Amino acid sequence: MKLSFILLSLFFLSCGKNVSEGKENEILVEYERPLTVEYYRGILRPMNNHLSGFLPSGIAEVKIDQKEMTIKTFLDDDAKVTHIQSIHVGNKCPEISDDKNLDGIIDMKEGLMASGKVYVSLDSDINSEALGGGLYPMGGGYTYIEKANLKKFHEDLQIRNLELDFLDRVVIIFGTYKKNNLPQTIDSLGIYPVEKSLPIACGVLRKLEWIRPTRWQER
Amino acid sequence: MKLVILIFLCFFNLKCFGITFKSKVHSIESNIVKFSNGRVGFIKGSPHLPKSGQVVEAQLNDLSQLLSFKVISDITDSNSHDFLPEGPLPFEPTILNDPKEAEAIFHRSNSFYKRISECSDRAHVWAHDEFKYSGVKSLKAFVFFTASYINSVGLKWWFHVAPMYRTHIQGQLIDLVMDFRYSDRPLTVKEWTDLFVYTKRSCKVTTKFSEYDVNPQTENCYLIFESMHYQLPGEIFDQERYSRFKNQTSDFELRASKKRAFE
Repeated sequence: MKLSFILLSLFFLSCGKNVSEGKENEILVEYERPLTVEYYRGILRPMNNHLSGFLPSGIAEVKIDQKEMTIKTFLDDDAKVTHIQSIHVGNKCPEISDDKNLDGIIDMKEGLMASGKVYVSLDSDINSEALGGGLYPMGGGYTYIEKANLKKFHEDLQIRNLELDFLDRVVIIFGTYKKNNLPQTIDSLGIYPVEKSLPIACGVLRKLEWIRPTRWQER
Repeated sequence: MKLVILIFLCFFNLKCFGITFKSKVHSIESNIVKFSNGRVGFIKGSPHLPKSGQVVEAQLNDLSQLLSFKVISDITDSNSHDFLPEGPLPFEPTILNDPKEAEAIFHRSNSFYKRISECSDRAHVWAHDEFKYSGVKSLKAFVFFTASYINSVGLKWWFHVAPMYRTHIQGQLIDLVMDFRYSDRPLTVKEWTDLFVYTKRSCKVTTKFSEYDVNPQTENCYLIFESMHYQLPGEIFDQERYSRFKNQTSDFELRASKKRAFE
């Protein structure tokens, strides 16, 4: 599946290059970023915390400069599990009104309906959705930092018909302990085990003029 | 590169099993050690237990069970608190005219808190930052969870606190809790307690800490509202035990809270 996605991506990229030099230049113009650095920050707040007895929380930050994009997430949770994390195309975190099957839980399916499809998977390679291998951070309290080449990232977005724009995008962190009593009603879209797919924290990225360094782990 | 990341993440994870912290022991109730920082440690057949008032370095496992503790200080007298010796001075919280004012205060909250920070420090700094900024005087909402509720849901805290602002909303005075770390807007008291009280039962409002302390375990939680100067449950208890009222907040205390909870 991933291989076919990569091949499909390469096909699209090579097609783009063969159309004309002018077309390529057009795209290159789009890579030109304003001289100022863009900062986005979102406060990640708990979701479905009644299943664990803990209130996961955190911060997500995005920095975009001329050539590079840096995404950071900082999480505080007591579930030392793999935390799938992603930025979504929507502009709001799921709310209890998005609990369509009324089981008192916002599951992955309901979360995606409320916050939209994945914009960036925050795994070990954010240059492209096809890369990264689904390797996500593991642990309760963690700091995740990944950088991407802005040109590569933009190309990948174009393949997926998406714009380079982080304003009001939604950051969702997933994953809880398997031991938590998770009801059968949770829909993980058949992709992940239920406990891995449970949204536990969410926040919306807001644009800032400047970001102070977050020293999350400091006591 | 991926292998390096994997090794790093695995190593990081290994380092993070359980939690170790320094805190005063507030009290011990049935099978729970309540720490002044709000955490609970479940006692599982441990023959040695810390005593109330001791400052300890405690190690908890992932289930919040008390694995070990080391006594750092045995000072049990709370005279060191920053209390005025006389009785209470009148404290009137500012009444906000509009929910929009409450929203504005909420979004001014300092979001640069540390991961390991205590709610009491965050609430203290948020309340006093706003007072310095706008002169608005706020209240503190303390919620105390009973041992029976903590045991039933495996809650990791025995109390929680956040600043609270009295606000005119459609001709009524409504108290709005500003718990910036855990909610994305000002919440009514019931909305706020529902974040932690999964049964959605209302918390019993009281003015006496002892009512919570000697509760018959039939409630899930208790609520106490105090002035913005109160930071910790012990101060509320001292008010009842020794008639010592907290009428002001010193700069030293605020600086200490800021240093502990913020960058």
